[in-house]
Amino acid sequence: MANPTDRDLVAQAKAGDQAAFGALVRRHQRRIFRLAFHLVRTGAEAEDVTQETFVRAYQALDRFDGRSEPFTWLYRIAVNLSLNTIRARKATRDSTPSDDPRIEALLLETRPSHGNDPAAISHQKRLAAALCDGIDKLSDTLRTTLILVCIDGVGHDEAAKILGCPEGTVAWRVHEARRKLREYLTERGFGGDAT
Amino acid sequence: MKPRDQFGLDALLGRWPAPDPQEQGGLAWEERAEKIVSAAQALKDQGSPSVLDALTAAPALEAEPGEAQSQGFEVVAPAPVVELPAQPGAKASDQGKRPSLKELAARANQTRGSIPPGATSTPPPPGSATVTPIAKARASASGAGRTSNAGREDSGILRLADVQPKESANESRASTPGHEPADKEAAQVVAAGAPKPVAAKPAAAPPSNRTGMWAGAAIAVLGIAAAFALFKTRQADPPKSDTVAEVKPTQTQAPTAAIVTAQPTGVAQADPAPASTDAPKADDSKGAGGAPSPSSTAVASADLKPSASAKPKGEPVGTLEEEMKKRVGATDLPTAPQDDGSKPAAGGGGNLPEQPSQGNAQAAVRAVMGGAKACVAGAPEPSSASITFSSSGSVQSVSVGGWAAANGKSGCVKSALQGAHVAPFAKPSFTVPVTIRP
Repeated sequence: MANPTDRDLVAQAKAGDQAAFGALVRRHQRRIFRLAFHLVRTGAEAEDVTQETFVRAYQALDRFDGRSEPFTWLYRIAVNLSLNTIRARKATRDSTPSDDPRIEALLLETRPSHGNDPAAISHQKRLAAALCDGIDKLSDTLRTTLILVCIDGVGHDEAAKILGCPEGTVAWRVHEARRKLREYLTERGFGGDAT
Repeated sequence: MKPRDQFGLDALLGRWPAPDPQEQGGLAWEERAEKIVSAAQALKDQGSPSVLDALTAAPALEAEPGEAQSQGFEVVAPAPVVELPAQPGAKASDQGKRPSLKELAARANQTRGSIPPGATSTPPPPGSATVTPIAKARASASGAGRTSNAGREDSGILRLADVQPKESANESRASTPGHEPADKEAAQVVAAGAPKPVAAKPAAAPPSNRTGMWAGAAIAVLGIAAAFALFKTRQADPPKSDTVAEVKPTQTQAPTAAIVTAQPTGVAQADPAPASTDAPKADDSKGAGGAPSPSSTAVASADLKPSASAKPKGEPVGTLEEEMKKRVGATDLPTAPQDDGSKPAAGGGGNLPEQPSQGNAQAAVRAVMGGAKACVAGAPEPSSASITFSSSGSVQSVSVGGWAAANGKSGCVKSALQGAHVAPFAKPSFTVPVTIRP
């Protein structure tokens, strides 16, 4: 089979084909890592979540009934593990530290458009910090939905399946999260076109 | 959303990457994948079912405040309206549309036989003509939307005035947020909105109305005849036991022999001390006009007395029973207990209570207490006295004790208390103890 679907790979893995499961891991580990990174906010924890997601998925392969896409199923496990990691933390941070890896990731992404203008880079750094801070201030519900939809690019329908809620609820949560985030940024002087 | 409003937010979020672990000194993705697969192989059988259940279930995220209100704006597939056969000519494009009242009425006509007759009389709650739960939620949020829809889709076809509810109770029920109509209820609503039943109803109504009218007339005639017969019977009889004659037919299930035992019981209950004024009060309306006292309790007590005093001179039980049978006209009719019936039976002249009621005695003493207090004014301690009334109600004797007797005030007190007067009573005498406080 030249390009097997996720369902094919899952079926083969269920039958004991380790290579099929390996293909599934290679296909989705980056997205799972990205999702986990934004949810748990550190690279190391995101790596752990990513690995455990696939380990748990492998353990639960027999439970996969095919009603949803394997990708949706993996995402659900990843979200649950990320939330467990977040909730296991004893203390929450009041503000985003300046060495937050998310800031650096965002700066790396946006730097080319600003060139080497120090003022622009500084502004972009403050914006990234404020953005991280604003996202962290959101509730788990809004933040998870926002990350799934706006950062990870999951559609409303898929997000609804992952989160186990109606699409309308996903849409409302995204809207609400955006609104709160915009308000947060506006209060900190990022009212115009941030980019 | 306008770009200006987004702060470039969506663009920022959408291209927000995660750092590459390899650049952070970690393993390459390929190596990482192999590591993951080998770890999965090693840990394959170590997954706890409960943990796996939890991980594959939907994440436990709390609902946001205001999230519930957002449900009304959800875009979900329209729920099936009613489990009714589909319209033969229905277009495929209409499947996703909310059915109009016209369609609902047509469907209801097709399945009219399956709907209970009583259901058609239930007016639909406002807005419930839109049967799907979502539409209902919208209607409860703003009723204006449905009105405009109705006008657009149904004008000239269905008389909405007939469909509109007339009961405010249903209105409040429909506006209750948690109230979702079941399919059966929806079918009733549809049936109520159908024009055909509205037209068919008057045709079916007259037969039952006529039957009821005839039945009512027959009952009225029977009632008049019974009243006439009763009236004639009463004219023929002496007026001694009118009340009994009226009451007894309404009494039920008492054996005839109970009359014999009931009368002494009634007398025994009628005898209690003057303190028991509650029960007799209920009999005030039954007569005892001979009681001269204005006090209602005294009158009530007077009601009880005749039953005891009239018993010897009253009619024998057998005679009464025979009379009852005669009047009722059936030998197997139940006989009422005589507790209540005996009291008014003896009503009339000579109704004297066994003794003055407590209220009557207190009122009598209160009337003369002022004079007695004047006699012992300045006394360091209260005095006592006993007033004995004769059966006529006047004071028979007064005995004085305490400070008044010891200080020569007994004459004064006696003369003051001599003026007391109670209603006549049956006992030879009745004594009231009095405490005179200075």
